[in-house]
Amino acid sequence: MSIAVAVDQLSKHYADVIALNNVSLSINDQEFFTLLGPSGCGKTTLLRVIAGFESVSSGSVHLHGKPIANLPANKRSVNTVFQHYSLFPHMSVADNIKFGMQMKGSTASHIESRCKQMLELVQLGEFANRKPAQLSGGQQQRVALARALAPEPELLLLDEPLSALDLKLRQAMRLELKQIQQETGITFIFVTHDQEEALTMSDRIAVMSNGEVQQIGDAHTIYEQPRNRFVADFIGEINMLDCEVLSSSASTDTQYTVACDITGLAQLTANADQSVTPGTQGSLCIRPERLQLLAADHPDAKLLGTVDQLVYLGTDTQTTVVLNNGIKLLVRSSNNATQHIVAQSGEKIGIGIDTMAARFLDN
Amino acid sequence: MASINTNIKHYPGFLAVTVFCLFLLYAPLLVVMVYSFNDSLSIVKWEGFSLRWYHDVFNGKETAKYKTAAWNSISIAVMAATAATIIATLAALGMNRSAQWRGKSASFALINLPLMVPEIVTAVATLIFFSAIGFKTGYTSILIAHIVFCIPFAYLPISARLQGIESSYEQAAMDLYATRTQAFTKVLMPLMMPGIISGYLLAFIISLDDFIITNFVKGAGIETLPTAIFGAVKQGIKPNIMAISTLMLLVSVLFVCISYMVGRSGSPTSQNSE
Ligand SMILES: Nc1ncnc2c1ncn2[C@@H]1O[C@H](COP(=O)(O)OP(=O)(O)O)[C@@H](O)[C@H]1O
Ligand SMILES: [Mg+2]
Repeated sequence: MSIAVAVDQLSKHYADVIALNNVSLSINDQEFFTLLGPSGCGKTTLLRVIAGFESVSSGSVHLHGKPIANLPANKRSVNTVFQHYSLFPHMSVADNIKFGMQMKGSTASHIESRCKQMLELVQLGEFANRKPAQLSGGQQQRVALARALAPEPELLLLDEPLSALDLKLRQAMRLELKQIQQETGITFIFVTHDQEEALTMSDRIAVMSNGEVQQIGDAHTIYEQPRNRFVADFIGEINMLDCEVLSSSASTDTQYTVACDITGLAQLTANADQSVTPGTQGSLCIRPERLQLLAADHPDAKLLGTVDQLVYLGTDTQTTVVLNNGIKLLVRSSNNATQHIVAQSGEKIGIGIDTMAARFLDN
Repeated sequence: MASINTNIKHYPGFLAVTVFCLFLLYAPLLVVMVYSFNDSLSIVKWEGFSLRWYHDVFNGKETAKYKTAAWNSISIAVMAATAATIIATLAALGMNRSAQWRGKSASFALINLPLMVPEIVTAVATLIFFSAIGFKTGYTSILIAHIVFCIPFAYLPISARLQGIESSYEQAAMDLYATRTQAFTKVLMPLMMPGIISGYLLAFIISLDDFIITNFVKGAGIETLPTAIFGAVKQGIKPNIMAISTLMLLVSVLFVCISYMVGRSGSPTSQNSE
């Protein structure tokens, strides 16, 4: 598997704002790679640096082995789907799609056939002669995609391309985008602040915050093995229990088992990526669906508490339990589980923990 | 609701004031237009409808004089508007599509200053300037003066249009392998065109009917339509003046209408209906 994009120790400062701080990542050929993070974390800046709209303060960017950080945008084999599409309003859909190939100097016959092919790919054949303003948001989005794909770039950048669409359309476009990426075999860098979008579409995800990459991994790793509290908190819901480490030992080559003391409540084990010195303060983190409601006197009940609130979510029920030290825990139980307990508000209840899914993260 | 009380229609006398203002503005124009069709030498007594004064304008004793003046006016207006529009377009690009540079806000003030300076002051200053550098007054001096005072009028609509065009269009063009020049000619300029046309037409009209500055810098022996009309009126108003005035009004109204329609067509941001 060859590397399409290598970003090495990249920093970007605007006056007194540090938009990117020492970012390094490498993206494989034909990969659907996502930059995920809250607004203002530097996703757009990183994309604009790769596209060639921003200079770098320090560091390098390589595209298929060639350094590109100092090339102007029009000399990079990289195309962008802009957040608001930026389709040329005075040109027809077909002329928008042809623009890049014309500027590149492709032959007229190639331009014609490629344009047709692109229109088919995004299912807009009958709209070729319309102006962008005569299309719906979803159609404009597809034209923007076709326009960027038409010149066959080595890399496609997409800056929150679905954020302007309504929910139903957004969900349909996720699948369509992923399918188009697989059909064309072009490397995609996709920017979003929507974790669901990132988890459903990406081969790998880079979680960013404050101009730094927090973790890179596939959806499963990011969700199940967050590397720090930011990632754990940003992706999905998670319970964090303050604790102190009692001991740690290697369970496999890369995983450690940590025994933790949840102050005043219980002693539990959790996984960690490295060995932790006893006495370290941190959090035991566990997803709500990895907790189980049990009878208070059940032998597997590791924690005891009182049911506070029940929220019916269709497929799941979310229960808030107040532990004996006042901390609230979220428990999510599937509504088709055979042995699920129907709890009552105010009832004393026990909680079982899937300790394999618990992680220790230091502060 | 609150809007009922603040609606200006509910102030007593509002309608009367409106009608009075409109009357004051348009009654003189109406009189001129109506009496240009008067079949009489008199400018106050109506003696029936006729086109004799229009005939007089094109085939009368003074036809040659007005023809020359009209040609001067139109040729100067075309050239002044063209030059002013080009300069204003470049200025607008410099003001809107560049990073902060020293003297940017000062330049902005400088471009628009002529709109605020009383025209008589500009006229006197321009005349003094021409004589100070020993420039012979005549056709060329009128043209130069017109180019200069037309720039801010051309600049306003062009700059307003350009401000409404997001820079992401040019970035998209360059992202799709266009050079800087191609991004301008193929994307930015077509998007700016309504503003450029508006600016051109506005500059044209302003040049066509300028009197004060022209009168100061023209020197002897050359007339534009406004100065020729003024000269004729000094010797008493003849109805053919009304016919000429009506024709000029027609041209002006036509240009303003075109300018308005062009300005309204296709806003570049209308596609991004959020
Ligand atoms: N042109 C600029 N000048 C100054 N600061 C900027 C500029 N562009 C972005 N920033 C700052 O850089 C940070 C990252 O912005 P951005 O990359 O747009 O974030 P995101 O796309 O993740 O929301 C923000 O704090 C933003 O205010
Ligand atoms: Mg952004």
